[in-house]
Amino acid sequence: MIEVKNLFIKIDGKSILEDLSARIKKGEVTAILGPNGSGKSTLLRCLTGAQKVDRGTILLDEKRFSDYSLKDLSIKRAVLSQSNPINFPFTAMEIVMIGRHPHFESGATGKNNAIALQALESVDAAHLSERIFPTLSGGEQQRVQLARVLAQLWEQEDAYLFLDEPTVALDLKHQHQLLSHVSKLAKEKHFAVCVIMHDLNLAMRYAGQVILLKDGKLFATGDIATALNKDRIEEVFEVPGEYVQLTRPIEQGNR
Amino acid sequence: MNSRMRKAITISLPFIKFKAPVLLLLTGLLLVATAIAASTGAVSIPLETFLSGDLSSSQKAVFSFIRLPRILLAIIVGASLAVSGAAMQGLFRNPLADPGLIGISSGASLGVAVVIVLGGPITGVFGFYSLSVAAFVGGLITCLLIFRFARLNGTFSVIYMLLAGIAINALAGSGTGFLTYLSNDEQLRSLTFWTMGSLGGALWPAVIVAATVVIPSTILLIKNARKLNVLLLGEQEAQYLGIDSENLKRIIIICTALSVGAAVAVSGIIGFVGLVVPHLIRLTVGPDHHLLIPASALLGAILLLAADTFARTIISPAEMPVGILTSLIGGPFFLWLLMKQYAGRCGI
Amino acid sequence: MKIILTCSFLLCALSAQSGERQRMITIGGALTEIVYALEGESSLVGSDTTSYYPVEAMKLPKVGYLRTLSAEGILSLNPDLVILTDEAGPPPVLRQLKSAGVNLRTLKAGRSLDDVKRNIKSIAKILHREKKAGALIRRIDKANETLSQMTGNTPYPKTKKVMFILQHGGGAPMVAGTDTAADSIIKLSGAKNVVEGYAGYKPLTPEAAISLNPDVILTTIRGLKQAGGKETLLKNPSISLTPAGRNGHVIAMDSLLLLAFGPRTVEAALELNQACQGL
Repeated sequence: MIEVKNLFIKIDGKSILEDLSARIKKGEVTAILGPNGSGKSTLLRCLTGAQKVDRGTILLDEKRFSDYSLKDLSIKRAVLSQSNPINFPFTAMEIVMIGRHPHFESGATGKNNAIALQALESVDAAHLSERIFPTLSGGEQQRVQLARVLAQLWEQEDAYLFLDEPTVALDLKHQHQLLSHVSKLAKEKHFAVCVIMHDLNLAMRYAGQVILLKDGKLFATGDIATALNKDRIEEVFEVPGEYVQLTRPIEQGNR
Repeated sequence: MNSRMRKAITISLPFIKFKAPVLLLLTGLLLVATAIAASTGAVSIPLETFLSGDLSSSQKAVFSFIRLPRILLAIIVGASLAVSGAAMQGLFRNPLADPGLIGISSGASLGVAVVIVLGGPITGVFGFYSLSVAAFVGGLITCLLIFRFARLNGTFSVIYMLLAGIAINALAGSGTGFLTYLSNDEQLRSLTFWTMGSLGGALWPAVIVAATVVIPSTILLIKNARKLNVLLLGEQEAQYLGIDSENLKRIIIICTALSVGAAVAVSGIIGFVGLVVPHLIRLTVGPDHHLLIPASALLGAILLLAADTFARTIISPAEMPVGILTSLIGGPFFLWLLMKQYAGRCGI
Repeated sequence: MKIILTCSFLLCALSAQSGERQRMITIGGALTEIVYALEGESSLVGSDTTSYYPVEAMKLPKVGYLRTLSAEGILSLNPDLVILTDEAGPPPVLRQLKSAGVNLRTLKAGRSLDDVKRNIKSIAKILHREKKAGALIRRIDKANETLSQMTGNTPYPKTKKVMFILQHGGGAPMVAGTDTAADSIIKLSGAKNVVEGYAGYKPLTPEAAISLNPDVILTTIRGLKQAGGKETLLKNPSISLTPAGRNGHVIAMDSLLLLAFGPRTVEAALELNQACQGL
């Protein structure tokens, strides 16, 4: 579990996050929701240990980030950031293999290779393995990057998976495929999965927990079915509440 | 699923299997190039004579004091430039980066211009090595300055480095320009020739000094090659994958600066090798630094050794600045490969 | 009528006098030397940085290096005439000077004694010092006779093979081929230039330097200084493995004296000849 207590973040004198407390639980998908500029990405960076914290504490499995080495963390958690251009002609396979970097010393190349292939398979991208990464479409690149992140945690249990707007470049089919895959990881491997999203309908369908942000402050958190309601959506997102399907389709969501 | 997987494995195999043959092939080529270089030159030492060991004393002297150090220096400098180019391209995550970005060439030129044009006491103290010393010191000072500006806000930023590099390179360039303006014919001539590079100054001390700097740097870069792959995903991503990118960047810069500094000090500015050799390797065996860096070292050595052998024989007894030849040999070859291969494994 | 004649006579005299006192700039050390040798220095108002002999010439206002002249610098001295070698430039500056109404007189940079004599005559004509020129040329011819006797006395196999190094920065030495002032002065002194394979100054492969077997290394004083002195030069294998290097036969001479082909060229050749014979 990740426990955030009274977190304050200031960047260049501007307050980004204010007095935020929340929890990320294992075995569930937590959606971080909120309008643009509400502090979602900064929060995610805090949760991954990439952002230095000014005030407040973040405990990952009851320990501070400073108590972990980079190497320990790399085995415990993986992060899919928003797309980063790669200018070198790596194959998709090579990109996924880079995700195995923390395991190179312990694992044999053959084994890492097999894992990388399975990871590609799991995001429906095995056929892309020998394609040159920069020549792939945005959605294909996104899936390969996801495979890279999955490969990083492949044999782990109780790990943390962070995804920053992972569905942006994906078509409808792959959006659902991705989210159902990660919610399955949460269930089966007891991962804590934390996803920044904009599509509230998708969030309703796949997330169990929610952290709702507005202007750097926690607006609501907890079980998504109870934490999200029409009034809150109208207040946070400034759209009519009817835009969001609030009845939770339980049977798919818990797949 | 199983059959699909197997298929994918066989497709990915060539890359893994390719590795050893490529390095072996390049090593073989380097040996051939060395043999040719050893038996070619203004003083005739045929390969048979050489192998029989039946050399006259003057042949022996020429071989051991001039030709052998020159061959070794070509190998060292070629490897250094190519490996540094590959590392810089990885660090800046840009296939068009070269060691010039961190100011070595411009700083070294300035140092050399100071010695050539203002001459004086430096020349006396270091004698023949005054140009090398000036180039090395000039290169490192510029690099340190750029490095310093790149970490003004505490962490080391590649973007700041690039921008500071542009400014400081321009400053060094204007200094060199001013000294060029002050120079007379002879000084101008030697400045110009220096910027075209030459391995004519290959004396044993130069070889030994260059080797003691270049070899450890190259080994360290090869050791960090896999991490360099990870860094290509982005600094933050590298951090997520357990790599101290701050530290990695520092290692890469220091190794490259020392290695290129030493190379430039002993040979002047030899263009093209650092930029293009890593490209040639990438086009043929892919961008994995674990293979790219050692393969670049070998190909850089081969290219420079071949170019230098031409440089000292093609218009004998005069010699051509080797920098002209590296571009002359490499340029068209690169274009050819570009047209042939880029359709398949396009990167930029 | 008489008045007109007198007037024109006076005018002629005046113009002759003003010709004596014209404001002249010489560009090129050898040309400046010739002006001094003809005792015409009173008309000099400036020269370039290569004009440092005789010592008084150093005191003249300097208009810069002969290949990087600037028009304004020259115009500020308000010259009537600029005498320059054909090496002077850059060409656009010369055009600027011409269009500013400056009288330019270009003389060929000397490569032989005939060139030197021709330049002396041309300058003498400008300075109206033909008499002095005649004396100077006779002196040169006489010295040349002495030189010819000395060089004639040296049987061919004893002819020293000289390698002229313009610069040696530790890499490939910059060595004079044919068609250079160095080549001419070496031949004039009765020696042989080891390089016949190329023209101009080129970097010589160190191995080739050895295979050419020079008996003498000739360089300029400045070149030797830049190479770090004689000791350092002799340590470089491209020199040390030659006969010249083994015996320490390095001659360094002032570059203006050695290469400029001015009035002292025969002296330079004599000096070089003596130095070679004395080794």
